[in-house]
Amino acid sequence: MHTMQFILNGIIAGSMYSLVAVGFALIYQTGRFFHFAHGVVYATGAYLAYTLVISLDINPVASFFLAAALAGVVGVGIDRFVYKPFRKQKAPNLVFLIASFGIFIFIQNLLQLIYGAQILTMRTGSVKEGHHFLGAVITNIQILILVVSAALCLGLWLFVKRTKLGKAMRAVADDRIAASVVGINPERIILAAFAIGSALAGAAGILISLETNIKPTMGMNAILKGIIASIIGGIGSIPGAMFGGLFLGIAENLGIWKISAGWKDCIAFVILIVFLLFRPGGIMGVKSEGERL
Amino acid sequence: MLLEVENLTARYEAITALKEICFDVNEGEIVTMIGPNGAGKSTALKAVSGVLEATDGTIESGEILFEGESIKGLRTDELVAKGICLVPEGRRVFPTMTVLENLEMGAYKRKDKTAISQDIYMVLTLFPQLKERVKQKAGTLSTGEQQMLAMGRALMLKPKLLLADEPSLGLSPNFVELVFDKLVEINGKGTTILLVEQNASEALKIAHRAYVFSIGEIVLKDNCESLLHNEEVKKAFLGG
Repeated sequence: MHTMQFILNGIIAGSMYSLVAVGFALIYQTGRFFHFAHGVVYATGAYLAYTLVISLDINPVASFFLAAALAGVVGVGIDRFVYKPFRKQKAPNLVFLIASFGIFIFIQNLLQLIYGAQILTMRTGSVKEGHHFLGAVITNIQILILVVSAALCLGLWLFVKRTKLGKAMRAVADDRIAASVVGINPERIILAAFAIGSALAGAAGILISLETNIKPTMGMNAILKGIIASIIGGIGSIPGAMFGGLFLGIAENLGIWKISAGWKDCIAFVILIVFLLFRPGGIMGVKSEGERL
Repeated sequence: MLLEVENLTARYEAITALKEICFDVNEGEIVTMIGPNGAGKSTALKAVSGVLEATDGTIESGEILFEGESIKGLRTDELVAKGICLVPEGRRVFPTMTVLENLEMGAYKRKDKTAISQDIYMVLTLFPQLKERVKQKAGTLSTGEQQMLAMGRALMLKPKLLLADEPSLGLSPNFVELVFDKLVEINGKGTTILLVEQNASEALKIAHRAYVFSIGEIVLKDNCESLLHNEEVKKAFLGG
């Protein structure tokens, strides 16, 4: 049976979409704009890990945390130097979107300038045989990816549900003015959302580079799928983004199996359109109020 | 004097909403601002609470003093730390958070955990309607209950000055009465209140002094006793 293998591949791909999507959702919720450049932060995470592990020969586990943290710093920098001045000017959403594309292209080209346009890889040594599990084959690296991404998503969910900062993020997401009325500085919360969301995107970039090659343009696919996952999950909802990512990953991989690999992106967008037409609130049924979008 | 506003001029883009208005609030008072829709009373309250500049308005000139110190240009969250707290127009509770979480968020700036839970208990005693709904999402409450929650949330900050923006707007008659009763009760416990209201007759009944707004200016100020008997006020706001 190939079914299990395709589902498993879907879950692995989906867990990456989920990680990108939850960070995107967190930033969207608090800042209320489409942070498209989130995708390039994901690519930056992968390249930072490459530098740390391959060029500087630092312990991979330490590199993972360091590169994710640095990706968080990149996100904070983007907000601090690009979006925040626009917020001060009360710029319309379109300005944020265009600025976001600008950052995306700028950093993507910066990566290309530094590392070159060729494909890089972090994999070393021979390919090991995987474990057999319910009729599917899974490698150690894949198990690692699944465990780490699940832990990160769960951690984020608990953080947002339980901690004071997490609750403050939900408060800003609910109503920025009301949040300031109780003494929350929304700017600091948005900054925290960028730090956490970007670190998660960076972590996703690092994890995927353990499995596939890295290239400067890898961020585009990641953010498109992340946004689709976020929308089909229910825009802005964190559990929605997790389920959306997994759903998208599995659907794409079943599509590859039954149709052909070339249709992968097409399947993702068909799912998006179907959701937008028939269930615009996504899996979690988030109501989209005029003010919120 | 707790709050002093001098020659305040504010605008929304090209529209001047307030023209050089002056008002003040003494410690322990309930002061109300009444007047027709669009007269600028909410704008005045938003200017004092810092919400005006965070949304689409600007303070053009004038001075705002709190306990003798200038607070003009401070952000809303900084004003909260100084003891000025707003019960916003339209309540603005956090709809996806539970009643309890809303009250906890009210105490965001505080660190004294035991005192916070005592105050949550105090708020739930003041508003027993909320007690059985602590685990319920605030968005599922009725408008009246949301108003109670918004007031309770503001009390969690232990404000020196409570700003209430149209607290009775859109409430059913028994909740309207309840809101005014609770304001008196809160004031009785030592919180100074600045109240903006369209329901002039009720507001004048509970307040000590009042300012009457018309098209961005204060046209009348007096204690409520005499305003209730003022022929012009009667005609304009109290239905004859």
